[in-house]
Amino acid sequence: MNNAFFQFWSNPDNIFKASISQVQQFQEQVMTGFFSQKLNIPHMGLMREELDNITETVNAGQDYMAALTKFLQSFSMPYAEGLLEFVKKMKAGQVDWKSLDDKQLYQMAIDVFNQKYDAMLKSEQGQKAVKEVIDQYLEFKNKVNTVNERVLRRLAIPTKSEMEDIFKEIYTLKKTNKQQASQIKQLTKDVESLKEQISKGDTQ
Amino acid sequence: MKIPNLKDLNYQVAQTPSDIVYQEDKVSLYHYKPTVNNEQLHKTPVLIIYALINRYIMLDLEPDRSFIQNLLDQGLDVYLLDWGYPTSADRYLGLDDYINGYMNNAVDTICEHHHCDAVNLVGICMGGSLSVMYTAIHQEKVKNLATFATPVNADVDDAILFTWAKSLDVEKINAVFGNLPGDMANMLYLLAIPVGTVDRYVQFFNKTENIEFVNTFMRLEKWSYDSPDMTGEAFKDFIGGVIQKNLLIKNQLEMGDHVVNLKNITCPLFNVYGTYDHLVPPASAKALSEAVGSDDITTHEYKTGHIGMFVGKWSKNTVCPQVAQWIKER
Repeated sequence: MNNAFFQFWSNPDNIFKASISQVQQFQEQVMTGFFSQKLNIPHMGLMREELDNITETVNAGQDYMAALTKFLQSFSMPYAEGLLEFVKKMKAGQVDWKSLDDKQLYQMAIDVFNQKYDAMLKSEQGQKAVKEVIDQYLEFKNKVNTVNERVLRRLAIPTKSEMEDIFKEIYTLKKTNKQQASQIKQLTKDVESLKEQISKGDTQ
Repeated sequence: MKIPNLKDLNYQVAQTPSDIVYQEDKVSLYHYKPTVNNEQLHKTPVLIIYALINRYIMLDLEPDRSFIQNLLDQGLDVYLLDWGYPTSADRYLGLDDYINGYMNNAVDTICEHHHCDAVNLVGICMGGSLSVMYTAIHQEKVKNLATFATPVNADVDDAILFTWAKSLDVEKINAVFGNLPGDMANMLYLLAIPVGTVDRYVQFFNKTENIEFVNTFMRLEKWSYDSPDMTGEAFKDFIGGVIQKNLLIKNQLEMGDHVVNLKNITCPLFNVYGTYDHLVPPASAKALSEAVGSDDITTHEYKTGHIGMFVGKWSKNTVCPQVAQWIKER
């Protein structure tokens, strides 16, 4: 039984599914059950679309955690493999352990782990794991931004996308301003040089 | 383990005396006070361009480990462009703004101040790529170009960071964050060398009784985690253009009204990279020497890592004298 228990929980997909089921249960019991039915407040005063956004955000958060768990799982493998290799070397008597001091032993371990981690991170599986964590994190942050935008809009506070429009305007204005300043500087130089030429012509 | 007395700790960085001679938006141009007299001072000034990620303080870590101080002691007149800390308001600043705007204005300011037509450009890491792009566009304003650990060719084996960068969804990162968060970039750097990162702290706890070591360690920590965000547009231009599409080495990188053609670089080139550099692999930096149009090319491969070129005795005794000598001869 213990074996089945560990097999179930060592699979990140199962952890993910269990977490999602917990969130859904919470939503049904607390949100729908308590607020909607007992207090007669539909969805805690939230619009259906907002509620969907929040649920999507929670889901994206869970996906991110699942990807992170998967990554950490694969990230721990080189450590385990390195230890095994170290032990194998010891047992096989490949190294004269008695002649090595602590520092040399430590350096040997570092070299083994370095090799294992380098191979893992450069492998297709390692690269895929890193990419998945980043992608899921971006997806989660994107959903959080959507929820935040709606909240800020309701509170009449400028949102991120509205501020970005302003930043773009400021950038364009600044750029135009700098170009004009540079043109004025060049024109002033030209005028000075022309004046000099005229004054030279006058004296001649 | 002996805990050092906190009173003995001094982890101030960037202590070499300097004046700010030019400022534009968040960008500052520092002029370092020369350490030799006027007769010994090399006439053509040197402008150092650092990366947009991390800060220049690595070049001026502490008095005995300062790349800038070493160049000053070699008789060079040194300027440095500090990019500052971009905020959300700067997200639309692209490489065109950095190179044809800030960098070009800094060069003009230095030339005006020294009554000269061109400067010696020293580019570090990504700053090297920016310097290469600048020189290709404004060759007449660059007398000599020195590049240190400069990524130019992104299609190389054994480059874990390039591989990760190629898989990034640049548009999505910009849509979500606006700018590339410095902490996110930092996490990827640390992840690329997980054992090295842990080993760093093991070494630290083994040597806490050595106050000099602790101070240097703290300074390096300060540099490692002091990562400004990279503006969204610059991130898109650099990661999208230079790394993902590899446009710089293909001479197809567009910047404002210009197309960056490395063959336009005809000034002398001093190209340096480290054998054990895990951030910019030698093959990526080496490619520059074969891509430029210059006849005077000096290429050096030092048996060191990314940071070793700028910090430590190796830098003081080998790297700085060599680059200073090379500049003076030209």
